[in-house]
Amino acid sequence: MNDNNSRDWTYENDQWTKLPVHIRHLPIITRHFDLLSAVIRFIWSQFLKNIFFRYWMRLKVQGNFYELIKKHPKLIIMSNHASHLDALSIATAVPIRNWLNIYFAAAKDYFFSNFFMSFFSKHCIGAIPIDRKKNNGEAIKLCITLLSRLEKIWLVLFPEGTRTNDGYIHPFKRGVALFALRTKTPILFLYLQGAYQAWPKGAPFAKLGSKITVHVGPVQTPAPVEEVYANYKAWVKTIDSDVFWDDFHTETDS
Amino acid sequence: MHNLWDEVIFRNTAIAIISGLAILAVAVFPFRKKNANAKSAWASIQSWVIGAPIVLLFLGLGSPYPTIGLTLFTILGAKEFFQITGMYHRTWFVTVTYFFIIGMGASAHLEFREFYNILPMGFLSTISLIPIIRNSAKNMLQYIALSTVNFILIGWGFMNTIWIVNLTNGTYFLIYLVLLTEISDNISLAVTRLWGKRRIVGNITTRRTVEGLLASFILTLPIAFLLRPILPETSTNYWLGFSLVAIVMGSLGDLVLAVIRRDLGAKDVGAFIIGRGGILDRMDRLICTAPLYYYLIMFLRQYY
Repeated sequence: MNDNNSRDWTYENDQWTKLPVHIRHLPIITRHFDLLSAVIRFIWSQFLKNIFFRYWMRLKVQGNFYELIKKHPKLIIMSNHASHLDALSIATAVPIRNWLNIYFAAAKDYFFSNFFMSFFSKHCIGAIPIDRKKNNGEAIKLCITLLSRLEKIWLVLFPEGTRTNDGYIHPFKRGVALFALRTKTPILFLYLQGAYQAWPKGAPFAKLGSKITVHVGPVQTPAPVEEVYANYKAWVKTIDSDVFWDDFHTETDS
Repeated sequence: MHNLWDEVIFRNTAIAIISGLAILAVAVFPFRKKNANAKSAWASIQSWVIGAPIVLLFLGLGSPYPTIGLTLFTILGAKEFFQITGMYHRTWFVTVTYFFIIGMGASAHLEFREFYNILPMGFLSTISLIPIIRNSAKNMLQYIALSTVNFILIGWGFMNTIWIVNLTNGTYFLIYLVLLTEISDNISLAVTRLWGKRRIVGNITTRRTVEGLLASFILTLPIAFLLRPILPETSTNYWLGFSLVAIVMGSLGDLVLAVIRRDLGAKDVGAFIIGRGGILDRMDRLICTAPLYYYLIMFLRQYY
């Protein structure tokens, strides 16, 4: 037998055999269409739109996501972070046809804490696990890999790093700007109004009858974090003038 | 098929299974972190403590819910097979396979045996068209072969469970089969871990030894005898035949999947509910057992 002509089968299964279990749902090596995720996300979207945000509380969207889907298949979406409702509100505000392209950066210790949370995080919100305890760069690699590889991706990040304790928007960490600069991905500004009042940190659940407004802002070209923060602040101040922590405090206060 | 929850025997069987698992869970819980064996046992029990009520709920609801549940479970098994073989992103092959599995579930539910048995040919013909439609030859023989193995093993093999459920009092036959395969497998694994020395097929798996298989034979048979009240037919031919099928074909199914996993360099792709292995780990013994078990029931009903 001529060895030059022999060819072994190559199994493209690294996505499922080499990656750790908690990130296998992310299209890092190969991209797949997951029917289960699609069905679960559809059911979840219907629950959010037609039940939760209709009978429990109200959601209003100021802006047009449809135009953005056409113009920007690849985006980093950044928003203030005040509540567990933030991710739900953004997901509900985005048209369902773009749901399979949305990924949320989510705390691994909370969103992947057990089987049921992991199942929810993988199939309902396409969560990218961010390990807040180990600073080993896995999350940065994941975000940059996904932004570089995928033609269609809306990556939702909360640049404050954690939910606010006091309702103010705190200065941003460098992550959002870093990802944008490295992958040349534009940033969409969102401002969530009312989420802190609806379900602040420490409260057991969202208040019945509360109202959240998702404001869709301008698209920012990749820039250093200081510039991103300044532009975001300038835009948000046209809606709410007194929500920035550093307008009322100095660094030493923290 | 009516709602089995109305039957006293089904309710008692469900209560006995769930209570047995709960007692086992309570007994193992204090030792769950003691060593690797205890961890593995705890993971397995956890998965069944959550999984068993779901399975029993579906089975007890009556037609068509067991068919729907078993078809969905088969699709999840096929999905996992596609993942370990690196084909899950080949959407055409995946979609056609799911479509034919649903067709197989429907034909089993409607009891079209001839149609069920020729579906693998129909499947092969259909996926052979994919390279032509896609105008691509690269790796297509590999994709067709792997999809066919997936469909025959996971689809055709496992879906004989639907035929079993659709028999008169078939749900009890299926519960008995699942119990026996799980018990014989766990005995074999436990004895292999504790005392196993002589590996049966050492190049394929280290989890199967002569000692484990022997213990499985010695201990599963009396357990099968004790569990025989679950069966609609309690004569020796039934429980003895069923336990032999569960032990021999169950081990064989496990080895067949072990060959595939070893060649692919894959252990598993995820956890079933909580704990040990993935969906394929839960299905592997039934893949080879279910068809023979079904035909054995038919044979015994006709001649004994």
